[in-house]
Amino acid sequence: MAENKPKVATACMCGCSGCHMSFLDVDEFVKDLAELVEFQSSHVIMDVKEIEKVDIGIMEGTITNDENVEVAKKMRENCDILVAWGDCACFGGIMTMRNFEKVDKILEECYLEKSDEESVVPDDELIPTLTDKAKGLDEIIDVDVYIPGCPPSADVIRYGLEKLLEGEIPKLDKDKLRY
Amino acid sequence: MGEIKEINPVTRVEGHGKISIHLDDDKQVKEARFHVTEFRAFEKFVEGRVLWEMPEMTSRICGICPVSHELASAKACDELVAADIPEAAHKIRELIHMAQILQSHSLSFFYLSSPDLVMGFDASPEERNIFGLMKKDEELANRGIKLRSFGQNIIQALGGKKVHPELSVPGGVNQNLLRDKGEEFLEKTDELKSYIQDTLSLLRDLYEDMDVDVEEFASHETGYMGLVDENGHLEFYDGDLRIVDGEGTILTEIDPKRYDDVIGERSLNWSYMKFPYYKKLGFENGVYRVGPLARLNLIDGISTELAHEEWIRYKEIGSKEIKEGSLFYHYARLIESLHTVERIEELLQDEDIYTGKINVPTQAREARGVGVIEAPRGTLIHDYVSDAHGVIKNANFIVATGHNNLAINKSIQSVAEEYIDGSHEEIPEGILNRLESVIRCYDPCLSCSTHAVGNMPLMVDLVSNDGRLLDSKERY
Ligand code: SF4
Repeated sequence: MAENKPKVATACMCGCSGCHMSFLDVDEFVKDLAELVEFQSSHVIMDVKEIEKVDIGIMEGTITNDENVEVAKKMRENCDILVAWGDCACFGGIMTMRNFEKVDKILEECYLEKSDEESVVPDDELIPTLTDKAKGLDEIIDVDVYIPGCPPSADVIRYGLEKLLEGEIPKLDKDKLRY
Repeated sequence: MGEIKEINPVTRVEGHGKISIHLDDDKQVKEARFHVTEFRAFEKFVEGRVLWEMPEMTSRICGICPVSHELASAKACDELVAADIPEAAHKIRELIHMAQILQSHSLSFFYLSSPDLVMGFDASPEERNIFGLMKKDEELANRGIKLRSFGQNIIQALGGKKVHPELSVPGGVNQNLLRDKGEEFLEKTDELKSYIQDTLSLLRDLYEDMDVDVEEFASHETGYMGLVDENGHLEFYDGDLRIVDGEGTILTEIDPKRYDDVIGERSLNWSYMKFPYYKKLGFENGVYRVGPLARLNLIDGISTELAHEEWIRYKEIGSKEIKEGSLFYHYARLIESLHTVERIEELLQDEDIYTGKINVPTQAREARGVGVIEAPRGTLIHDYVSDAHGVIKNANFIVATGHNNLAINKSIQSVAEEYIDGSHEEIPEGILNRLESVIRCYDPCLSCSTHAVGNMPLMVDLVSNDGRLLDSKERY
């Protein structure tokens, strides 16, 4: 039984973690879920040396830097069904408000004008570089299921997962389709 | 430097934070750095929006403590419009805030940290999470789920949603609590208090059995900052901003609106998170901590009975009243959780919550407004300037994890120095364990909540003096 459980991975790009929090709001259902699926969490997609496949890959957040792009592609390669979870992943969400301005200008203003005189703009090789625009997931990879909401409520998340586990693509309308 | 890039897949895994350890010519630790790898530009893109949108928009900074952002924002906006909010609105905001602290603390302690404490740092990664905890100590896991869900349900009852609720507006709040909801919540508080008390005694036992010295572990002297009420007691919603030194002596106590008289911000090229510091002592020397540990170090007492008793007991543990060891964050978090349940109980018995006047009309003007609040992880500052039409012209945010940034780096440095000596070309296993638990003590908000169902991924790079990447480890 344990062997055959569907595997699920979730990942967070540039989001507020609210979608993941909403998932925890299923409360006690977390326990049932633990019986139904095997959580690979994020590390599946992270270990580039031994890539493990999952059945369902769930992604929160907007694509805002080169690391996000790579994580998204890795997740796409490694899952059968890819779920865009929340407004950020589905449409770009609140982060796209930065798209009206050039990245350099934003960085300069945030780090030089709003810090002390000796401050510099972060540009070290050890931190990722921002993409020029913040983007929804499907501007980079193919998405199979969209679960919008900011965040989607726990009930919707639960419904979506249950349907996916039954082998169906969840249909979200009326009450389930809300901001 | 190209080599570093090649191994950068390591960082790919989690777009949020990583650690690098830099060695000098003798392969001794020169510096350890905690990099925040994400940048979201809120400070910039809110410019040009109108102030009435700010609470809802800025709550999207964090899905773990959206209520804190919404409230800090609403407080800043109250000032922009010179609104004196009704007493009842103040209480309702405090109620939702207490619920928020409780749910966030419960997440941090029960879902994220207790698996380590209960199963040990060496338990297998597959077990060391909330699912493992359900098997190992179902009762403890259940307590965590119930406490968190209690907080979330209050948030929903007031703001319509559990994450990103809509309650606070400039000038007050937009609804009262329904009485039957209040009664329903009140019935639960006794049970919840007992959960926290039982967990406190469990934690005391765990500390005794731990293989690291709780007092010594990731311990170093810093200042501490947080809000206090008019009696110098623990305060989350309003009050004066107090900064104490490592001995608990008060360095400053001011109206938080003047925070920038005492706090400076520096940005460095290797992290997207700025480094605030206490101006009088300057950058780096002016390191201070915020959050549960800091708050319990700087207060003169707690206004509710049970939490106050626990606080007295807490201070008596170990050799010093001031707790420096980062592991005490967990203990402090539980005492604060107890206070929130007691305070929720008091507020739910206040008639204003159900029937009081909830807001006043607002009008834009040219002004500066600063909203300061104690978020679960520490002091949160929203600072806005508006024009006569209510358009935001400038915004600055300092979040709790920002205040802790210098201290987190210091903690990491002290662990690195202890476990790495001249002989290392690679990162010793022991250090990963220790680093991971140091980071988790601070409960940094950038940590994506994926960790709640898995484990916090940790990425550490060891870098030689000439910038070569010697070793890179990742761990889940
Ligand atoms: S969709 Fe909303 S809740 Fe989800 S990550 Fe984006 S801002 Fe946060």
